[in-house]
Amino acid sequence: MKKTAELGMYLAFALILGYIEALIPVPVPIPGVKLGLTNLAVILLLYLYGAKEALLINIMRIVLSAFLFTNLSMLLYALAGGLLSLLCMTVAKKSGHFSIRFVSLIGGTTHNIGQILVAYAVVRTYGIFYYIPFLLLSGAVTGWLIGMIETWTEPRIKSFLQRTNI
Amino acid sequence: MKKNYDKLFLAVLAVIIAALFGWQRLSGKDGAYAVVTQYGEKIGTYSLYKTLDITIETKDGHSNTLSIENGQVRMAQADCPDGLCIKQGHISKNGQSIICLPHELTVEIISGEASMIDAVSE
Repeated sequence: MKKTAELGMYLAFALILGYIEALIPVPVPIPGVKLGLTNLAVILLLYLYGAKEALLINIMRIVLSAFLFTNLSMLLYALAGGLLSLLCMTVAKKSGHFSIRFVSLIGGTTHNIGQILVAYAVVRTYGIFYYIPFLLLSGAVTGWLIGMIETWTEPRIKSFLQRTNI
Repeated sequence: MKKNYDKLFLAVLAVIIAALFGWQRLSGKDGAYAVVTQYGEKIGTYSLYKTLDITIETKDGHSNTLSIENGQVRMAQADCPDGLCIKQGHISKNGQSIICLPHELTVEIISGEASMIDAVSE
C-alpha cells in the first residue's frame, strides 16, 4: 500500500515536470530538443525502486501527458524516446560501469535517437538525420544536468522517507 | 567496484558529435536544388536560383508555404502547432533540411551535379 502511494506521488511529480517543461520555451528550433525534466522522476524511480517501477510509471506518465498536454500523434514520439532511453539507462545502471550523471546522459541521448527514428519512419527522408549531431549534443547536456540534479535529490528523498517512516 | 567508463563514454560521444558537425561543415557547399517531400513521397525539386513561393497542402487542409530566393529556402508560412519549421530559418547548403513534423513535410538541399541534365534541359 505504502509503495503504491509513493509511486503515485512519482507519477504526479513526473506530470508536473512535464507541465513545467511545456511552459518553458525551447531556444533551439529543432524538433525533439527539450530539457527532459521528466527524466528526473524516471531516473529517481530507477535508482530508488527499480526498472519495473520506472517502466510502469513512465508509460503511465507518457500516456497521461499525451492526453493532458499534447496530442495523440505525439504519443508515438514520446513512447519511442521514453522506452528506448529507459532501456538504455537500465542496462547502463546494471552494468555498474557508469555514474548516475552518465546513466542520465545516456538516457538523454538515446531518448533523442529514439525520437529521430520515429521521425524518420514518419517522413521517410534521410534529410532528417541532418539533426542527429544537434540532438546528440542537446540530449547529452540536458541528460547530464538532470543526472546532476538526481544526485542532489536522491539522498534527500531517502532521508525523508526514513524520517517519516510511515 | 567496477571500472568506471564515464570518461571513455564521454570521449567517444564527443568524437562522434565533433565528427558529424565537422563533416556537415565540410560537405556544406552551396546547394542547387530543394527537394520537397511530404508523407514520404517526393512532391517536387525546385531550383534555388529562381524566385518562387510554393504552397503545400496537407491531407487535412493545413498548409505550408516555402519561399525560394537568392539560393536560399525558408518556410515563410505554416499553420502547424509548433511553428518550428518557420523558426528553422534559411537553408542553402547541401544536406541541410527544414522539417515540419506535424505536417510530415521535409525540404532538403541537394547539390546540382546529380541533376545537371535537368538543369541543362530547363
